[in-house]
Amino acid sequence: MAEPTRRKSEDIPVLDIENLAVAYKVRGGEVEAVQNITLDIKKGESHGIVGESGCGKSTCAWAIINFLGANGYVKRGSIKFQGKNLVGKKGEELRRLRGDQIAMVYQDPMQSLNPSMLLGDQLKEVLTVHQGMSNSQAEKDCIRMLEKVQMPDAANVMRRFPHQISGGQQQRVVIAMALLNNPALLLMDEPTTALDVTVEAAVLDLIADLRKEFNTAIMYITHDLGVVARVSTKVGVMYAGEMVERATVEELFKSPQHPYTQGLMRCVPKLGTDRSSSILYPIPGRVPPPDGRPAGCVFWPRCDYVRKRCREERPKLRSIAGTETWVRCHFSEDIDMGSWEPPEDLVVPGTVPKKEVDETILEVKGLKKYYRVRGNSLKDVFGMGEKQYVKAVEHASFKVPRGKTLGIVGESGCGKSTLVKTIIGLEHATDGEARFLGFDITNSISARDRKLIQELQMVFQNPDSTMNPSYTVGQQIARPLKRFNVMPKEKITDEVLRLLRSMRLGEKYYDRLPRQLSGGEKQRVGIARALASHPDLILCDEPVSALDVSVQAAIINLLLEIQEEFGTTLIFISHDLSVTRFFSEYVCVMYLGQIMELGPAEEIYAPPYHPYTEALLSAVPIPDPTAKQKRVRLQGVVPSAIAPPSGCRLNTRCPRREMLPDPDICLTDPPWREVHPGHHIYCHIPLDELRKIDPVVSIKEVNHAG
Amino acid sequence: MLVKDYMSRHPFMLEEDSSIVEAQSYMSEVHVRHLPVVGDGKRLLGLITRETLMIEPGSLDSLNVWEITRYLSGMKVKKIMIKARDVITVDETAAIEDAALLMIENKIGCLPVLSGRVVVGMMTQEDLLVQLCRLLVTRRPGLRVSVSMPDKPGETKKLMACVEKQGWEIQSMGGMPDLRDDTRYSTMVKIIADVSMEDVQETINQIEGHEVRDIRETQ
Repeated sequence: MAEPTRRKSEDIPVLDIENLAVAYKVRGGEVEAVQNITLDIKKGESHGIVGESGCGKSTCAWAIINFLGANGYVKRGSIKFQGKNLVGKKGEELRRLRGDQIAMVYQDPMQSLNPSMLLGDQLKEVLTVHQGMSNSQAEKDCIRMLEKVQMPDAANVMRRFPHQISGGQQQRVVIAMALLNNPALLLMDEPTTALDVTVEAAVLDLIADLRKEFNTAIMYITHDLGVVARVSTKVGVMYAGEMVERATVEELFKSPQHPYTQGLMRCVPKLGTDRSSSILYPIPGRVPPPDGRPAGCVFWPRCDYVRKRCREERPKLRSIAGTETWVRCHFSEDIDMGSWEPPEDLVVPGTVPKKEVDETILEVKGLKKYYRVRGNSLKDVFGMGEKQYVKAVEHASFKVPRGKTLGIVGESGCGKSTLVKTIIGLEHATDGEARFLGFDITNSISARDRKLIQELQMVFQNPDSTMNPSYTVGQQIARPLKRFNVMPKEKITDEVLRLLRSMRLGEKYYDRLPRQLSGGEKQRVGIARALASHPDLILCDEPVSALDVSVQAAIINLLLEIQEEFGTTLIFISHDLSVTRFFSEYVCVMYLGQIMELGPAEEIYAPPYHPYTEALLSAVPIPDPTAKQKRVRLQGVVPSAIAPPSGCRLNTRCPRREMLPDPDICLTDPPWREVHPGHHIYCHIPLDELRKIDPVVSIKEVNHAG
Repeated sequence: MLVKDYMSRHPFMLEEDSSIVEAQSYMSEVHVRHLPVVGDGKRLLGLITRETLMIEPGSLDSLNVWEITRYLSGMKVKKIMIKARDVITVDETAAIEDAALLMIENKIGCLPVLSGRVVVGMMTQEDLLVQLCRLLVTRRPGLRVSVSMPDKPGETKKLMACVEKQGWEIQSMGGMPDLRDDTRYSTMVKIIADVSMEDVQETINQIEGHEVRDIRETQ
């Protein structure tokens, strides 16, 4: 509805930051972590802030509440909250503002919850201490608020401790707590990054609803363009401590103006577009540290359009005529994103179709992995109680052809990692068969032949915890070469250097220690080490989820390139369905230890879906606000793996159960329905019914970013 | 249509330790005429309005120009504000017409909206006028028709039936007793229809006892 009258006082932004610079005092001077930030957020608006790590996003939020630590301070500029300048405010006044009018939600909910207090007491405290409300009234209000954040069984949650509820629920409690005081401004710093994609989708829906209901201004910090597209009305893109672009969310995704924004768009895989159009182009180089920023435009060393003026003169944040977009670039009008060509030296893998090979390298049949858990009763102490097992993997069967990639997706706790650990031999299989090149691999790694260990290597999610901090990069990579006697001793150094070069790291990295490397570089070393023994199969457990998008794109391309060159087979675990789609030929969807759907990637991402796959796909944040995505949400929480639901394990949460004439059939084991040879769905619902379901994602127009 | 749906949420507020100089400049900066004064947990402590800031010269200890400056700069909001017990407030669950009545009866321009003792919003005369505009859907293209009809049951229904029969869309409607003639009732209807004003006038005039008093197009 057209606004009949806009009042002057309504136009005053809740948060108005002008020309902000934040500096940290360090030994020998000071570092300006954040410079020239200008933004405003009005009531009921949600302002997204995106950028790679180290770009100053969080510093910006901390400056608002003066949470900068002893050595940080606001050097220039003003931060106005409700028209009042916060810079230079005294501690007591700020403390009251933080309690009453500004609330924060951080990435890790356990940082905001006291593990030794009941959740109810923590929530009530907000009302009884600040507002002097009576205990019984506070209890009622808290339960009402918990219901608003869609907490199941709210009254009961009040009497639990934080560790007794799941991560997604913890985050809901934190959001409820933040909203209890009805704040005018809500600062959210990566609130869903640590959550599963299905839980994330529910929390994002919740944030959008609450924004409308409470008319709260939200500052939403994230690294994920998909999340920004879903929750924001306006977006600011930050790079190296500066805001390089500001626009409405539609404008930003339709026509990004700054070369950095365009680069970011090119390095995220998108669901919904077909595979060939979603080639990832990483941004070369990396974010400069605050004390090493170049003169002129901060982005010029990584920019494809750099000219003389960019190196000399720092661009100002200026508005583009006729739009609400602000950009910090001299030449943004001249840059046409559509005519962008990848640089010539960039190797884009994945474009050549792979050769069809029929040889099966890994075959798994009915693989099971149970963990014994001990109960606490007296009977259990004497070993007389009933034996209980966590059924981490149940009846897993699949084949992987040589030179192909199998992607495994699912929520956390679904048994993805256990499956991979069992294959590599870190866990001993409880039952079932697993054959690698015809050898039995159900035994543990210590019983395996060294030759076999050499052929199976692994890349881990967190390169930090898998590298010896006191070994140099060269030593780390040389170790498998020596252990497996891959080549004579005198050639080892040459081989390590060759590997480093193929990882695009260069010889100068040979003598560096892990702490001298960035996250992406560490992951490259991890991959080089896995490759050193020339394995036939590499198992990658979330190799890119801890990395920034631009680095992620580079690592994915690197893995694909390696696969093309060496013909290595890969098993790729990821919770990110867009990455998996881009990366894998075959995809396996797991839920609670059970494979739900297995087949070629193209077919998994199109109907007929397994109801669980459908729910997963509809939860993926898509970096395109115009994309239409169906809203299918799983109810409730993942049941315990000790006593999983009988029959189909999804039956307690299945959104499509009512499609069956007799829903009780779900309590029995479903059949494996074959869609095509090689594509199987584990569900009671007949395939013809499943085929009628519309695709989850439909993208209207051709994406400029592709 | 309750106060909580139409109040200004997250109003501008003051602390009781703010100086009156600060209060005065804050008021003009954010373009409001009333500022609730709150304590811990946004509990209402008082209210500052333009009038409370007009300090009687007689209440000052000295009229020496230099003394006044010093005196005023040290003066805190809590000294001059209307204390919470004297502030007329409205609960967030009240109906908006009740809020309007409160303002008329007490001749005041604003009402702090409370939930318990906590300030959750402000309702001003201006807010109510904004809602009146919204209620009557101003600034949308359509035909605004004022109809005078007998003040007895069933007459509005006749008008509705007539409009519905023509297939016109009703955007909004409002009515009240005719102030000059207590046997009649004035109703205003906004309709969207692809017809001329004359046609509308003619059609409505055909209803017995109904008369179009005014008709105009709105943008």
